[in-house]
Amino acid sequence: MAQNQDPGPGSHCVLIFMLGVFLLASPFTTWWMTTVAPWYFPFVLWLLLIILSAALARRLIKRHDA
Amino acid sequence: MTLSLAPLFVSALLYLLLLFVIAHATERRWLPPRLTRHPAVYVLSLGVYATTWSYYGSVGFAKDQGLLYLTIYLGVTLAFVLTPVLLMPLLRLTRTYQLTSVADLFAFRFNSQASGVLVTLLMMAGVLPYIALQIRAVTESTVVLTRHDSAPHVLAFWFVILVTVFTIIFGARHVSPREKHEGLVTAIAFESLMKLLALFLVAIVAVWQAFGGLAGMHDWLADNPEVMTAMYRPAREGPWASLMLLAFAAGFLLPRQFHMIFTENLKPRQLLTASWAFPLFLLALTLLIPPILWAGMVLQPDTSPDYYVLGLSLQSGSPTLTVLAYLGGISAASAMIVVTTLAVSSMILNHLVLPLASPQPHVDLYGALRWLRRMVIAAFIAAGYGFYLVMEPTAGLVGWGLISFLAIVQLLPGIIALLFWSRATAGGFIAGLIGGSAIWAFAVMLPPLTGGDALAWIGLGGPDAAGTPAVYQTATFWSLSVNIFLLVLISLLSRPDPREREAAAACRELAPMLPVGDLRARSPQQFVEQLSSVMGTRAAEAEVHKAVRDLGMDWNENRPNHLYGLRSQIQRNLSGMMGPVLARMIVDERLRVDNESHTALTQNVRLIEERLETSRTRLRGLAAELDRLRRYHRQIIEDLPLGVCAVAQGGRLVRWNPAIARLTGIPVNNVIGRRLDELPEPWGPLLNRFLAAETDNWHKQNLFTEGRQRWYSLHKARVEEPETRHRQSRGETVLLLEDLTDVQRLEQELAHSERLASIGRLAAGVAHEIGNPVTGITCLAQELRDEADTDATEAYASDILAQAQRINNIVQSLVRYARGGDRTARIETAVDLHDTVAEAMRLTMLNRRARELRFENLVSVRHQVLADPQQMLQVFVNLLTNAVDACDDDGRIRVRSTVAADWIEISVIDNGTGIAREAMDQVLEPFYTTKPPGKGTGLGLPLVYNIVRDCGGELSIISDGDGTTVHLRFRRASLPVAVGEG
Repeated sequence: MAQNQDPGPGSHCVLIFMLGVFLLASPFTTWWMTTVAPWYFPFVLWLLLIILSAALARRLIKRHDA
Repeated sequence: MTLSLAPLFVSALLYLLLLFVIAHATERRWLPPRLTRHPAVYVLSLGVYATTWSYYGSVGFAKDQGLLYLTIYLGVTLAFVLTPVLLMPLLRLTRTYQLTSVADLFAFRFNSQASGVLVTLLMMAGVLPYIALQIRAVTESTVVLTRHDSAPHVLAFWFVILVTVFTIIFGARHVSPREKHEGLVTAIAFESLMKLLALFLVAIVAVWQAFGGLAGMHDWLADNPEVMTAMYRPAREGPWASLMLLAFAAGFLLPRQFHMIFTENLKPRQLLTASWAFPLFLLALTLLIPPILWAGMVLQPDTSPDYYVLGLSLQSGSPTLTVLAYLGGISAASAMIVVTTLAVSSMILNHLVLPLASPQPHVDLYGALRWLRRMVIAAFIAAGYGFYLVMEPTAGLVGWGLISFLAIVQLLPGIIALLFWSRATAGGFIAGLIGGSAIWAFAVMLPPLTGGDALAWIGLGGPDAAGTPAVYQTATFWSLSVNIFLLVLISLLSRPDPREREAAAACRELAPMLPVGDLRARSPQQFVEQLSSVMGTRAAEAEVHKAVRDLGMDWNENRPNHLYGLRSQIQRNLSGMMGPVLARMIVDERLRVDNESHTALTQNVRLIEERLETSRTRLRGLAAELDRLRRYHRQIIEDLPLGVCAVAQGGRLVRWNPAIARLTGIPVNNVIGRRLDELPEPWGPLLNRFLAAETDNWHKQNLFTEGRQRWYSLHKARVEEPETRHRQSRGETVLLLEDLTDVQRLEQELAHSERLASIGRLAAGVAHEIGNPVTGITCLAQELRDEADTDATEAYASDILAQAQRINNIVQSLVRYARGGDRTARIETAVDLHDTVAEAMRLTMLNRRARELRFENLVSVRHQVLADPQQMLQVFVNLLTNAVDACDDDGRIRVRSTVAADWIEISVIDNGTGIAREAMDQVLEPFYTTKPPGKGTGLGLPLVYNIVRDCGGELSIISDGDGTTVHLRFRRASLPVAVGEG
């Protein structure tokens, strides 16, 4: 029995994933590597993704507990 | 500084013993569960991802390939970012269907043992070198610290023995991997913490030794810009995206990752926490790599960059730091070997061993499984040790790790198909896996071992292939391209069988197929009997009992849909123990479904509704509209004041609305799925007889329920199959139950009233006809008495007169009763209650016996009611007369009144013998009397009742052994204006 399903706020993770791909695996990545950014720059981008994921996870945990 | 072998060996031994203690303390609950089940422990346990490759090899990797080393962790981060749509659905699947490994997952999805076998073989081939790599890292690190004063193979041997013992004790203590290994998880989490702490201390000490602090390090970097250029250039020019893709897949598909993420997960919300906390752990770990590398470049320890962590700790001159750094490496290696072995041994057992050696009924299944698992664990670690012995230490630590990753990524197309493409078939998956794996084997796996270069024509292969990350770009591209191409092509050319379609729907969280037949087993006990022949009685009993407990089911359950649920639960539990394919085979073979018997749609209605209600995803679009329509129609049935039940084939109940639950007193939960004849008396036999009856309607069935008599009407109609073009009945029936008790009682009361009215009319006619002869008799008797010449004659005449008077009284009573309902003859006016009661008392006391009693008129002189004065007088005379008859010689009769808003309430109270309880319901009936024969007509109280009712008043009687109180209630008359006022 096929169903149309609403994936809910979990689908927001796809947006964060796309942002992650943009920051870490795109021509933008090559650009910031070319500029020889500070050594910790990739870690800052990485931390940004983690913070966004944490915010989403917080929402999902609240929804899961509700 | 160098360290001797003995302290290193002892410290490693003590460390591994500490892990034993932690694991044991967790399982014995010596450590509080609040701590060991904390999400942080789960997150840290995922740190098993960081092996010696990360711990030691990342520094060397960063030295050679710059920031490329980050890809191994960024890829994992991206996989964890997708937790809600990628990892959570996989977790749901593995938890629901008890799938304990990635091979189980694919075997379940494609309903194919071959898929499980292939994945298992690929995993074995992919991770054996990886295990060998861990053993090599441990021995090499020992050699580095002891300056070659040790025999590597002997060290490796004892390390392997210890790890094997640990794995067997804490990883195979349960029969089935479906049981959680909390002790193991806590120990692995501790190891992750150890890795992070050791690396952190080494980094801090090294940076301070090399640069005098972080500021010094930044100054050094500013002075040496070529260092940063060397970090960025390989990342720009190298296989950045390909390595991220490999790490993306490895992050959750590596056997050890899959095991820790899914199999050892206690609560789904832990995974949501891990979606950000695990990448944070990796970030903390990898942030330490560049400072260690640069400190190593400055301090130049006497080791290869792969072992800078040890070289720098040696150079610090601190034996404590050196041992700590060494133990960090031991942690990384042992954790990886233990968890990987557990995960792969489960695959080997479920997909290679058990299909060849099926369970035997005369062999203790649990014991056999436990020993088989232990043997597989020992054999697998031994194979890793063997691989270590034959492996040439040509490739760096990273090389064999990437080879393993490239094997794992071959599962990625299958995972995407599993989650998002129902059309994928087992044939497509197997073809894609074989194609991709072949390229993996010939491009990167075999060349370092054989020196072959079969794929050199597409830019792959060569003995040094594994050592150069650049080759992974090409290898990833070609292997995945071939894999995906074959998966799609063969899937489109082949057709999935029904079971594959069902599994595909389950994987996509679509509703699985509905049962299409009846189970042959009719009870859990019959399940045991049928499973015993393949699993042995003990295991069959244990498994059926466990499934019954899991479902909270009663052991005597016999409802087909519940038994079908039990069958599914047993299949899931067996899947956790021996894999999904074997579990399905056993269940299909032993717990057979009778496909010839048609299970009607109605029988599955409840199942469909439960699935819709418990579905965690919200419907949208047309599906949501249809669901709303379904809820609306269901609500109509639920809210109907008529009792509705639907009976499917075989007399099984599939619908039982709240109204029928109320009428019968049988709650819905006890009914659905049961047969009609299982319902308690009187409903079961009644409904069953009605179902079998030829007529569709039974009117006013008289039942004795809840201690009283009730009347019901029953109706039934055949239900037609909605989808069939030619509408025809499939044996399903809907029954309606209507409670007619109130209607029946009203009808009876009406008939009774009609009868009484007829009696009244008859009585009036009779009284009129009898009155004339009685008057004649009285006149003649008076004359006879007056003219009597003897005393005897006078006495006879007096008797005649007394009897005639008695007849006259009866006739008058009849006349008064008959006229009681005549409203037209009544004149309503304000009646002074006190005076009326006083007059009634006076008249009553004309009776000689009444004069011996005590009368009290407590009625207020201000109380007036709207009524006919003569009728009111009659009411009180009748009530007082009854009271006199009921009282003994010391009788006391009181009449009092109270006001309640627009009403006046009058109570006539006596202390007589009272009215018997069984007579209470009848005292208002005409001609019913409790007095001795000849003393009463039975018309006094009915007449009172009629008069009160006609005045719009109310009458009630309360009586017990201490007397009787008659309460009257009349509408209050407005007080007359006093003459002269105003």
